[in-house]
Amino acid sequence: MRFLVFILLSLITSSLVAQLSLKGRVLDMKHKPVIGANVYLKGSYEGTTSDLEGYFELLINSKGIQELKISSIGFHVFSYSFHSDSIPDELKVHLKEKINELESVVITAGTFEAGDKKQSMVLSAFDVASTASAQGDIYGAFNSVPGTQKVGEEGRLFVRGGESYETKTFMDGLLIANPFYSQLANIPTRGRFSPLLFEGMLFSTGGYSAEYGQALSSIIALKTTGLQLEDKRSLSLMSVGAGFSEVKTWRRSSVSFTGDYINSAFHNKMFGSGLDWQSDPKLINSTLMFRHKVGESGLVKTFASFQLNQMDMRYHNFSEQVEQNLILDDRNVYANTSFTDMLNEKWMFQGGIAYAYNVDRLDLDEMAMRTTNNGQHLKFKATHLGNARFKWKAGVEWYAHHYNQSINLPSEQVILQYGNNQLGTFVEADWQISPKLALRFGGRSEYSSLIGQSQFSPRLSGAFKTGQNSQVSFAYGTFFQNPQEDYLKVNPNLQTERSSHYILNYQYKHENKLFRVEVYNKTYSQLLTFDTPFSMKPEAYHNNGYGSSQGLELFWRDGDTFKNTDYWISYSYNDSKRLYRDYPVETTPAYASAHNLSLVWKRFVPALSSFFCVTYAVASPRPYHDPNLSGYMQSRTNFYHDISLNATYLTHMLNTEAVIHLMVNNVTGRTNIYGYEFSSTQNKNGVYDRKAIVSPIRQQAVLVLMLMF
Amino acid sequence: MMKVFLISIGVFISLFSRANDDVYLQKMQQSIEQLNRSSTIVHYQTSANAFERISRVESDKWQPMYYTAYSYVLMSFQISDGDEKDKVLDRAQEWIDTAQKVAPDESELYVLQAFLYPSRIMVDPVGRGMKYMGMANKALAQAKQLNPDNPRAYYLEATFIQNMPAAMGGGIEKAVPLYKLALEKFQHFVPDSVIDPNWGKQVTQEALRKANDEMAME
Repeated sequence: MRFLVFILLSLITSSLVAQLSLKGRVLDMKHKPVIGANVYLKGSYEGTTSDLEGYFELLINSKGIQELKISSIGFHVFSYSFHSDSIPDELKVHLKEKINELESVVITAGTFEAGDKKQSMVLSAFDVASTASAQGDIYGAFNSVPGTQKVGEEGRLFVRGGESYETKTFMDGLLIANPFYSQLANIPTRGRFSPLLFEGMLFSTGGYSAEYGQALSSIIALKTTGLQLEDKRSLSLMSVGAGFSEVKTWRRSSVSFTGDYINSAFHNKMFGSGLDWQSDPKLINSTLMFRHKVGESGLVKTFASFQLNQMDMRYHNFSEQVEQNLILDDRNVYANTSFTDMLNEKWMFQGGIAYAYNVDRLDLDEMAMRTTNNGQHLKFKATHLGNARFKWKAGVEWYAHHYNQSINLPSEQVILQYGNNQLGTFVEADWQISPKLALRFGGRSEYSSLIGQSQFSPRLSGAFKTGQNSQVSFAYGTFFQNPQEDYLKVNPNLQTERSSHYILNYQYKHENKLFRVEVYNKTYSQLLTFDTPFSMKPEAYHNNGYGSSQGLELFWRDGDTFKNTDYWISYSYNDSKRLYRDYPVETTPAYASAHNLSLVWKRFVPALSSFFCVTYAVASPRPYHDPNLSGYMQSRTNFYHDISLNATYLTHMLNTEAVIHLMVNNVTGRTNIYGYEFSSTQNKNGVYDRKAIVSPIRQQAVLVLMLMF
Repeated sequence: MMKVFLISIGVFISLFSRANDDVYLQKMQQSIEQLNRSSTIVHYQTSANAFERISRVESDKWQPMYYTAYSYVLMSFQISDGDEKDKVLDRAQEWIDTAQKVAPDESELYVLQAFLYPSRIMVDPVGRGMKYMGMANKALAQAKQLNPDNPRAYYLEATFIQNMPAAMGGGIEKAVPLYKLALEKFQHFVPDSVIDPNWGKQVTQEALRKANDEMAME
């Protein structure tokens, strides 16, 4: 009992002891005061908050050894132990900044990112979906940022003086072997996948991570949406078809389905078509996505899609001066499953498998050609998060590809085929030397069973923060890519094509304003060359080509100056020359225009609950070869101009949310000429006749009504 | 004798812990009052700091964590810079997540979650609107499922509807009945304790009054 009284008494006396206090000041590493820092003793409610000058006074009520803690958002917690008998007079504390994704320097050389994760991204997923000139196509949207050349008759991305095949697309880290609908010559194609399937998109115009290979110029990395949270259903009626989508959710899983049927019959009647369709083009596109959360942090993503694309026309073969029946039937299956999880706090594991199957049937009069591409991609990646300053990742991937083409002519059958097993490994480290300086270095090695050679490509990039809102970054890398199927099928003993990139970038970003300037130099070697087009002789194909490409790009985006308005301006200058294919000399290739300017203007009008977008694009003349003149690629087309617009009206209809969307391209109705086709024989005056290559549909408007249930 | 001694110790310890509980409640009440008087970033930060200190000691109670996050969400509404706002909201989210581990079935935490998302939207309304509005609605549905009489869930729903364009099924007329319903729920609402969330009645009354005025003007 006496013991208890003693305790009680000592408790009372301790609270009678005169209050002590600890005074101090909280500063950051740059000696600027930290306002609002939480200053307290460990295990106690008591504490205080630093004032506008960073000063604080903390009352100390208990005796003995105490542990002082100071915390503030964006800084590491500061700890300091002292004894109540010897409280320091004036404590000056410098808090160390946490290396934070938002503030630390980010390597931006050659990269455009879209998504809503970070504010620092250049474009949002919505921007990609709503850019007028893109007409709902991912590649079209990326055509409005610097680094791309407008090639109207292709619809694919041509990056920095490179060919379209030099850009590869990945979904959740896995290769999409056939990202575009199969194409007939001079009829522009588009991407198979809607931007609405993705929450993040990265467009690299060069110098990209060692994780990606087999692309000479550029990669597009798409990240599909995660676990869906809400049941949704939508129905779209379009002037070109109809679509349906459904999302079903459970606690840990979700399933989404989309289905679209596109038929341009109505459009061809309304707007006419430069092509002689036997039956109107039809397209079926369906996707199925399944997401399942595993444990605390694991996520399984499964994606499957099927597309059917049919065209049937009378083809006016200008070079041979004949009329032919031309039918394309393209069927594509693409499926992948990926898994991401944290093994523990340090290790993150990602793995996935993709399957791609594409069969194209092309009938040209008596000739029937059937091309099958079969690909499997398997990939594992481990990331060691270490600490905020140093992370590294390593991975291994295997890509198996089988190509088979049978050409059936009335007299004979030709079968061309090959198979390739590609093994790739990569290692890359991210070293955040300080919040101002970051370095990324790594390498990738590849072995191809077909090429029979292993190759190594180093990658290096870095960034340095030059001010509160500005930074400089650079990137370097070497890249390899196997020759295209059309050449490997004839000669499987070709070598890889090669390129190397040097990129220097300056970026200024303040709130919603962003300015970027980038210069680059790219060199090519071992580009594929051939003696005559479509040669069936293996010895006609070589790796004797080479080339170079350099340029300057500017980007300005401003979402602040005008209310509810956001606009961006992109300018690209490119100077590229190459000797490849059957070029007799090194010259600027036919797809490369020196100057490309694009203006995108978006405005939300709340009073009308409508959203408007206008785009203007201009490209300088492109070279083409005129056989009537001496020299090679000596002629130039006219300038390309395009004004497109779209409007989206959010409304309520049939007791549900509705969106009405109108897209109009080439508002002025201009005829843009992309180049010329020449007759293969001279006419009676000794001249090769020519025909302009133009868009088959000069101008069109698409109206969409979407109802959400 | 030994028995008496042990009992005394038992009594003393329980008295002592009662006393500790009292300190906890007192400190919480004090901090809640301070928060209710807050209006600037610095005030909210001071409140958040006070709640954060309590949360670190009382790691098995959701209320201090709730108020820490709530202070940060209120603070975020005063910040104009998007990156700064996101950082503060990240901190708020951390505390909501921690609180949900302590009390997974607490309706108020879902309400708070729904209250956080509109602030995320303000950083990039066009890009984030759809996604976060969906998430906010989902959180509200869960809050109502866990406690159909939580008046704050109805109040937030009313504000969401009011701020949505009329063309999309929102607008003031649609919001008024919801404000009325929220107010009715507030009349019958009795918090579990003095430190449980109990905000919203006044703002609901105010919002309803304003809405009625505005409709009368038209």
